[in-house]
Amino acid sequence: MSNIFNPKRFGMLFIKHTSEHYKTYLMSLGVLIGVMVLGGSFIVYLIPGGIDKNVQTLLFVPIFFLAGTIFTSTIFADFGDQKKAVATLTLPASHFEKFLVGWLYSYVIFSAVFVSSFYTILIILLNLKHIPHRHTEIFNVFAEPASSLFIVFALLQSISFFGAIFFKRFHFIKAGFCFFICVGILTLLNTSFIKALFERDVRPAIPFGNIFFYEDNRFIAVSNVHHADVFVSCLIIIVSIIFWVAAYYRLKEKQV
Amino acid sequence: MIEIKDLNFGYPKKPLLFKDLDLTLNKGHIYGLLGKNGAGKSTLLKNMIGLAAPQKGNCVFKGINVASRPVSALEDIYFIAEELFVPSLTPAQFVSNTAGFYPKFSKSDFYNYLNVLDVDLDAVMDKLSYGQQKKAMIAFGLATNTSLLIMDEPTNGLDIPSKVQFRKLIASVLTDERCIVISTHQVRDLDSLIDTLLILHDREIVVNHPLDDITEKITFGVFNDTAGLQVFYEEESMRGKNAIIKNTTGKLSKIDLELFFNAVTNGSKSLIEILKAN
Repeated sequence: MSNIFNPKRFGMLFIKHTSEHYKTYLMSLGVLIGVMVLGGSFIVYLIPGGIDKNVQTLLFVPIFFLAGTIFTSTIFADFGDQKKAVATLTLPASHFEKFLVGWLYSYVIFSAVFVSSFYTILIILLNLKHIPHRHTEIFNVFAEPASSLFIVFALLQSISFFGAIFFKRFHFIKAGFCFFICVGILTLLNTSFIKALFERDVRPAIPFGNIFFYEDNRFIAVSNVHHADVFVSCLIIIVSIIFWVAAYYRLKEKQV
Repeated sequence: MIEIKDLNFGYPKKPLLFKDLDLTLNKGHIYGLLGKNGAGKSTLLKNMIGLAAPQKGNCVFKGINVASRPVSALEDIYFIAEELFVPSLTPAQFVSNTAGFYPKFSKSDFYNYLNVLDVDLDAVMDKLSYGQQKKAMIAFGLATNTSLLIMDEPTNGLDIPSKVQFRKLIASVLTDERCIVISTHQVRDLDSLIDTLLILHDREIVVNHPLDDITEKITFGVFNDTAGLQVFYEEESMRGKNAIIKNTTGKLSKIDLELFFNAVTNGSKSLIEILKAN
C-alpha cells in the first residue's frame, strides 16, 4: 500500500474526519446562514430599489473571505491540541491524505457550501421583496470578472491554511496579524521603489496596484496595463501554491 | 522489532534528554520502562513512533525509520498516550471509522476486551469517566493486533479491579510476533506483568535486562542484619532492612521493582556492573 496516497485509505480518512467534525461544521454553517439572512434582510429592505449586481457582489465578497479564512484557520485545530495531535499524527494515513482532507474541506467544500447558501438566501430575499416592473439581475460568481474572486480567496485561504498548521493557538488572529504586517512592509517597499522609479512623491502603492500622485495640481492615477491582470492572477496562484506546499511540509514535520 | 541507535534528543532551548542512546527491543516480550519524573520516558516513546524527531541517530521499526511516520509503520504500531483524546462517538462508531486503518484489527477481540474491562458499549466515549475512556482505548489498542503496542502510563486512572484485568489482558495478548512496551512510574503496576525491565536514567538506558537474568544475579529480601552479606543496596523498613544482595544460592527470588529502581536511580554502580557482567 502506498505511503503517499491510497484512494481507499483517503476515503476512510475523509469519512472519519466528517463523522468526528460534522456537528461543529453544521453549527458553523448555521451561524453563516444566520449572518447572511440577517444581514441580507437588513440590506434588501433598507435599499428601496432592490439590490443590483454591485451590491450583491459587495455582500458576497467580505463574508466569503472572512468566513472562509476563519473556517480555514480552524481546520488543523486538532494538531494544536496535544491530546488530539497524538491521535491524529499516529493515525495510519499519510501526511498528504491528512493535508488533502483539510484542503478539500477549507477550499473546495467551503466554497461550494458558501456559494450554494448565498444564492439560496439571495433568491429567497429577492423574491420576498417584490418590486413591480423591475427585474433584478443576479450576479454570476462563476463568470468573469467575479470568478477571479476564487483566485483571491485561494491566496487568503492558503495563508490561513498555513497559519492553521504553523501556530498552535489563536490561528486566525496570528495569521491575520502576520498577513497585515507583510502587506504593510510590501507596500512600504513597493512605494519606495515606485518613488525611485518615477522620481516623484507618490501615494502609498500596493504591489501591482494603481499609482496615484499629484502633478500641476492635478490628481493623476496610473492604472496597470490590462494584460497585467493575467500576470497578477498567475502570481497569486503561485503564491497560494507556495503556502499550500509550506503547510504540507509543516504538517509533515509536526512534532508533539 | 525496534532498534534505536545513537539517539540524541532534546527539546528546543533545553539540554539533551538522551545522548547517544542505544536500545533494541525484540518481539515476544513485554518491556517495562521505568524512570524518574522528567527522565524522558514519554519522550523516548514518542521517538519510537515518530512523534518526536531526534537531532541525531534514528529509530527503526522493522527496518523502517519511523521519524517520517510512514503509513507502513503506523499501521503496525499502536500508541496509547498518557493523556488520551476520545471522540464524541460510541465505541461501535469509533470502530466503524477507525478500525479500517489497522489491517489486523479484530472487532470480536475489541468487544471482548470492552466486556472484560467493563466498559459500557453504548455510551458516548467522551462522556465516560477518565478511567473508562482509558479502558476503551486500551481495548481498542489491544484489538488492533499491531506488532508493537506502546503504552504510556496505562494504569493511571484505573481502579484496582481494572488494574488486575489490565494485567491479565496484557499477559494474554502477548504473542511471539508482538512486542509490548509499558512506561510507568507506578512500578507496582508492572509486578508479574513484564518480562524485561528498562530503566531510563541520566540520559541513557542503564538497565535493559530480562527479570530472570536480574534475579539470577541478585536476590531481594528483608534482613535483620546485613553484616557479612554482599549488599548492593538497602533501605530501612518497619520489618528490617530491605536489601538487594548477590545471589549466591542460584535460587530465583521475586524482584522488588521499587527497591531495584531506587537502587539504580540512587547510583548503585556495583549493582549495574554485576548486571552487565556475563
